Amino acid sequence: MSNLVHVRDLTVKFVSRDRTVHAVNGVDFDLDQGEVLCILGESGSGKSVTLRALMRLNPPTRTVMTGTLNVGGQDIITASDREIESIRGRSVAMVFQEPMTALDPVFTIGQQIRETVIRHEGVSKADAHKRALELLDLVQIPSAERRLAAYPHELSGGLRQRAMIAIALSCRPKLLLADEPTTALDATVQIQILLLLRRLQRELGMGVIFVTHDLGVAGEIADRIAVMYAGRFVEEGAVREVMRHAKHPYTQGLLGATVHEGMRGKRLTTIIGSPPNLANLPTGCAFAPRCPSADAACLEAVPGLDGAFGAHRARCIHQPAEAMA
Amino acid sequence: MTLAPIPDRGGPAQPLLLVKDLSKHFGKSGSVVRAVDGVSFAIRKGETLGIVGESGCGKSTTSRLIMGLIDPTAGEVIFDGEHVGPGGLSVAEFRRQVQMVFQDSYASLNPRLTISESIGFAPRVHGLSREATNARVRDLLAAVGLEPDQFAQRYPHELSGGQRQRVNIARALALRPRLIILDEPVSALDKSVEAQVLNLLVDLKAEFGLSYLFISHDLNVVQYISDRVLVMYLGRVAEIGPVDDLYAHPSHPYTRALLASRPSMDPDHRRTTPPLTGDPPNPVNVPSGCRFHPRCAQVMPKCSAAEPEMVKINADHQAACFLAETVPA
Repeated sequence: MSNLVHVRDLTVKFVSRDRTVHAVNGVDFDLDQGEVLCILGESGSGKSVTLRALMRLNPPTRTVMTGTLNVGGQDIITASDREIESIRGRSVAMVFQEPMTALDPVFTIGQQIRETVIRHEGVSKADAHKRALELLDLVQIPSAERRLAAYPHELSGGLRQRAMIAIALSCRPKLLLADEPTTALDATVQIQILLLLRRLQRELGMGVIFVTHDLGVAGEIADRIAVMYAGRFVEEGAVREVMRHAKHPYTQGLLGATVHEGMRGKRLTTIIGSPPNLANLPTGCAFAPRCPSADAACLEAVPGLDGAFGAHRARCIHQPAEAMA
Repeated sequence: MTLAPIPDRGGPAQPLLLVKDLSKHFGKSGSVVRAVDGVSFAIRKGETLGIVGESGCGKSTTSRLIMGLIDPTAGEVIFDGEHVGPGGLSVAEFRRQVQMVFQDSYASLNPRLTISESIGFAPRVHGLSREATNARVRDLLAAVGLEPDQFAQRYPHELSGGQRQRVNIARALALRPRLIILDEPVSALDKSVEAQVLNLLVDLKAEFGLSYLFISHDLNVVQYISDRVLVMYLGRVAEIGPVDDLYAHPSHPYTRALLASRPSMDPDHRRTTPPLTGDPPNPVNVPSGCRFHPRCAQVMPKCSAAEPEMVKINADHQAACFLAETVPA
């Protein structure tokens, strides 16, 4: 297997006594070494659940996963807990949205980095400390020695996020998962972190899966974009293709609804209604109830993704004419 | 009592709201947080003034000071020519004329009141009859795009985030105010819902003849909705001006950096260098002189020694920077 990540027909369900929530409903993708995939979607689209599935971080007692899910040749769905533990942090690492809740408040940044390095690489405490210093340097945290002795609350939001990236990179992962890592940051800090992630990704040759709701962020960092809606990829393709020639009505709606320069005085195009309830999904295209070009055929079956694997393709039976331009 | 719209007093040229040297310092001597430090601006009748800035710049504290939710350390608020506070416009009367919408749509609604009770609460307090209140609630729900029969008797948890924010807007309109302060009203919403709410705000402004104070960290949203924009940095006004002028010709280095921090929306012309390094400083220890000087690319020796005055760039555009120059008309 050559792909770093290989996902086929992945479904994730959350089962409780009263209901079953179908969070991810058949996701297929491959990710190569050194490639950046952005999963773009609104709240409840299943983007974070997909990301967490790659490290099996969804709550174990309630989650039911089916399909194929390989990361670095390892089957994530059938792996034992022990195997998963050694994968987490070593070959796959995650950066979360809110560093204040993801970092442990009672340990210093240095202790948290050293712990990871010692656990996975079995090195001495002194070597782990040296590695921690290198890592803070790598993520451009100034006065590294002093910052290693700091507790998370003593750092600013931007430095905390850099520290979390340092921890994620501590064992040189092949795959970095990032769940809205810049959403909680101020604009001037967000762009710093995005540029840092882009540089690190290139220097270290990591594969990155980056989840965001912000098209602008995706445009800054992605090689490929997958747009997610109601637990399925409704459109995927190279970043330029998706941003300039969106095929799916949902993607087009998102592009129209994203406020950017030169829209002053114009009416924003909106997507009417709200996303479907994942406990009770419609049988046909999940976007049909909100879609301007939906008809009876859309309600019959879930449309497939047209086109070849890896090409720019969309899950819509009425691809609007603009897509051809 | 009918709670009719309040008539205009000072005429169109008199600012609807004047804020003069407003300051709020939190904490006791030693570690004082100067959240807002001598901020002055005006909101004209019928305009939308946008306030942008990063976390800790004092934009939300400013809105709370104007509403009287916290007491200012110094400064004055003047509404349509009348001083707000003892000896002037009473707080009750002021709050009829100025209403607020917050970021967190769920936390700002009482979970044990139905939507109808929440929206009708203030009109009832202000003496409107039960029948008249019910009729007004239905009108308001319709005005914000929620079917009254379907939503009036629901509770906040039964609504989506976008629907709840519409309810908050309806509640803010219930007393027929003239000014609405919107503190990050769309920041918690998904993009498709954000666009719906922005369109609604534009419609309501025209329909009810409102003025807005629109606070946001999102420069694109502020550009879309505002007539004039005020940029705040560490409790001070860095720059203020008409939206097109300020976005096209930013005069303060901080405004330039903020604008350059926006994603490019063009995968072929991505940002290559961050315009600023580091985080916004902690307002406990504000830098001497110009508060922006430690992060400024064009810093000069005098920037750390003295605080720059507001420089008039043209009739309506001002910036607090030694390098800002008046553009001859």
